[in-house]
Amino acid sequence: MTKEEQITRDEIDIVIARLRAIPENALITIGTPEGSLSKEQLIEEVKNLTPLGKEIIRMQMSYLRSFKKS
Amino acid sequence: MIFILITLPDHDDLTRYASVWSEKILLSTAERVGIKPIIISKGKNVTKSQITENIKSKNPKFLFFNGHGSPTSIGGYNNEELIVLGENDYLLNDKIVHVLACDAGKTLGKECKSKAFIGYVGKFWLCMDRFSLSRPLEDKFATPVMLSALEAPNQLLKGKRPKEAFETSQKTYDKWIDEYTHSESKYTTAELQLVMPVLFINKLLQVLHEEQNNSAN
Repeated sequence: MTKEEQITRDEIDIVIARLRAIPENALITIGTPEGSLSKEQLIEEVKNLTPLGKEIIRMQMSYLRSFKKS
Repeated sequence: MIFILITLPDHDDLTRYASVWSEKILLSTAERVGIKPIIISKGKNVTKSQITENIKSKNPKFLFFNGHGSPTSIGGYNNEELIVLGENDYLLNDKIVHVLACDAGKTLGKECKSKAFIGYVGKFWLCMDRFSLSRPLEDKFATPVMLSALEAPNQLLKGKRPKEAFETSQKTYDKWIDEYTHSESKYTTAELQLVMPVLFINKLLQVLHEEQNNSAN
């Protein structure tokens, strides 16, 4: 993982906070073997920095950084 | 006679949603514009052998794949690899290809010799409502994502050039993003927190490869 791709504690906290704000009945999938994940499962993936958790962090941070650019 | 091949695997939530929505949108458009026949490869029949046979025997102009992907492959039922770069990507030669799957736009889409290839250079994200899983067409969280993504093959069926189809799909993503963010939006903050990043990232990762794939164009 390059320096740019390193995930910071702040980023993990930000993404967990954002996931806590999604609807309770939400599911998200990207077709990985984990299947469709609930809000709590998504948060666990992020907390444990699993490959899927890292993918979620990159996706959310990419979205947030778009505001900085615009 | 114009043939279209559509794959509709349904072995998990993502493939099931993509397939149900594709059937609703693409088959009705094809019928409306008078394009027939359509070759539909569905469920367990979305296999490498069947796809190969259909492409070789019917020579469809359009190939619309729904499934899972990797940078170098497109999957079918239970993720069986249907198209693999360097192995049988010649099946895409001179075709107009849409791939609703993760990653396939990255290397396969760039290096194959399709006439045009619309796909994604990263993960394709889908958000859903757990209470709508049995009724994908009524899923309010999935609706903006599926309508935006499938606008590309829908426009192709309507006779638009790949570039126009891609741009219309991008505009549809934007339209839904506006829908969620304008000041009088009917959506809750929680819904916005869920759907917006998904729309944003899918739009960002959607790509069109054309022309450079085919020097004859």
